Amino acid sequence: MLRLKSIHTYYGNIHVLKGISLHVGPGELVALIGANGAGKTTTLKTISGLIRPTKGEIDFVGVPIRGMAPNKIVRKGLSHVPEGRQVFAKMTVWENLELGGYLEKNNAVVHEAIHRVESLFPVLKKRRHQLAGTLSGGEQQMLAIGRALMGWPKLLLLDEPSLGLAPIVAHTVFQSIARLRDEGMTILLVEQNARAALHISDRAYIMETGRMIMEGPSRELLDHKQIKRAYLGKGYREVWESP
Amino acid sequence: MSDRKRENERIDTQTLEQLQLEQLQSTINRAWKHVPFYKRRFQSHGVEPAGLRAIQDIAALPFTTRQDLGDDYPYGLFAVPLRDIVRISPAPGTTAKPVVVGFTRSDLRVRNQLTARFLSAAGVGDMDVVQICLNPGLSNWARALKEGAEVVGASVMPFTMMSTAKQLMVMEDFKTSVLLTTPSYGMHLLDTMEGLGKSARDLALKTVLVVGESLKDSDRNALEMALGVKVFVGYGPSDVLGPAVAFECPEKQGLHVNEDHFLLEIVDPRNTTPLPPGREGEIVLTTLTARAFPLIRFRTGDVARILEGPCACGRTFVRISTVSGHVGNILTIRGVKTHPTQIAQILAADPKTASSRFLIHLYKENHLDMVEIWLEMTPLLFSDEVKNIEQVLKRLRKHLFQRLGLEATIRLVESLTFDLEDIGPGGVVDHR
Repeated sequence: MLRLKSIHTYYGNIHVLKGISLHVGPGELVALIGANGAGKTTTLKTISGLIRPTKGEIDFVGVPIRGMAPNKIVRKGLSHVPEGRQVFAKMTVWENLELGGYLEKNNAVVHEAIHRVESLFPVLKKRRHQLAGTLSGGEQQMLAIGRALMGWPKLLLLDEPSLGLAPIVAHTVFQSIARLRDEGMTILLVEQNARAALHISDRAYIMETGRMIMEGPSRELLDHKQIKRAYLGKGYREVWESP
Repeated sequence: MSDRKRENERIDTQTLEQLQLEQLQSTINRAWKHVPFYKRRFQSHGVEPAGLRAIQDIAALPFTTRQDLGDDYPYGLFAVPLRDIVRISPAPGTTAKPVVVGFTRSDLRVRNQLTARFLSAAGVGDMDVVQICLNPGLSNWARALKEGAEVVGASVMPFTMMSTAKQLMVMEDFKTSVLLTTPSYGMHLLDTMEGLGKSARDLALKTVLVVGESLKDSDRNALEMALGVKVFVGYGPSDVLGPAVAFECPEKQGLHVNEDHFLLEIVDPRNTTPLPPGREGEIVLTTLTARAFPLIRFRTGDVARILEGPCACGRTFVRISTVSGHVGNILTIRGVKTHPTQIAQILAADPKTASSRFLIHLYKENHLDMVEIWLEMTPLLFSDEVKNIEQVLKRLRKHLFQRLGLEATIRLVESLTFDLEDIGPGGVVDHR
């Protein structure tokens, strides 16, 4: 579905991505994990065309999309949910979702899509006529994801959906992402919450200062001691390790 | 073994290349970050991890040799802290230092899955009784094969020091269906059976898996005919990596390299230029998933060639021929790799033989590799009491066995012998 080969991206003179390769297969939920500043968000922005890489290849559904305008990439079926729950606060939930369906001219189809999103995130149905700004953080995040789903993209890029959410709220967001994958959606998930991301994803990549340092099935990475120490909480110890 | 692991064996070329590129890049990033040896080596070659943009770019990276493994002994090449290592696996190696490989839990899991792949390709399953007969110098492999056989659910008899007659008795009484051994031991077993008046009808063997040495077609035919079995070959460099870097499928048209875990190159051993498919050269391997002990462009010393074209079995992994020989002076004796200088070092370390010249004679007896060291009798070694000399020889034999896993006989020869031989002192005469 998506293939990146040796992508190099600069911000001015700063070499941010130093040869990133990754792939996402159809129906897969792939996590991209790393500390702050590792280049995760830059990777997503490079994929969706917001930043132009200097070197490397990006293929989406078999078509090279490197250098293509972001709106064209969206039309190819790639939806990017940026971090920070960017919903239109002064509009209702319904209107926000309608905006997500801007590519579709037929109203009936748009409404159909809204119903589909509402069945995935029932809370949005309950809040249908509320202003988005009055929603809780978790609900806003679901709205942001729901809006991106309106055109039922082939690939969904999610940037830090748990950012700034209370743990219990983050949990429900992760549950809905897992449910979305079960519905057949292909997802590339960027997360700082490595534990949760590894729990719900099929495979994962670990990034460090613009480079990939490990990749593999999430189950195996969860069991990897170096990853546990680095990303699953400071001073993480196994029960049998003395403090 | 999960279904996905099986699927990998039939992965399409494009997906495999993407997977290998990702794995190679992260392996190199990890090696650069965690293994000072690799960083030093890359820098002295003027290469940098970010420069690797395609798999073919690996040709710009420096090689790793057995000498390097010895130089950075003991922990120099480990890429993870000791607390992450769950197994430390030493082998005698081919230099003065042993080769010691570390494994994390996931490394062991991968190795076992690959061994299981080799076994499943040969049709070994949970209904089989697997008996492992490998000499002690290959005990690392014996362990790997045991664990792999456990993964496929077979009933496993791990390697046990026993006479061949007793191995045969167990094989008969427990209806062993799969024998895991070296080609030479397999042939030796045939002789022993003949001596005991036993035939294939007394045994329940259906498959023989051989590792460690190259298998001659004549030996394969002899084993298959005499035992009524199918013979499958597995390949791996015996001192590092597992016994299942490559494996034979039922088509028996070469060995499939596990390309989702190793990157294969064949290079000209003289000038290390990469060779195209079909040309015989040295096997060079790069680990793609190893966490604890990454090897980048490791020169195995084994010689083989890439076989072109798809395999009728449907597996898409590239195939190599069975190993046809070795580069340089490395000797493979009953599957164990040894360098003549290791023998020299042991002889030189003994005050009585420090100045003695020697020759290494290799020959076959009952299909087994035998080592005879021709040792020069010098005034230093000479004594008017035979038992004094015998004591020195006993000590040398013990050291050879303990350090190199070699069971050698030592023949004392006069100085004149060295002038008569074509080959210089310390040389190898291979009658095999």
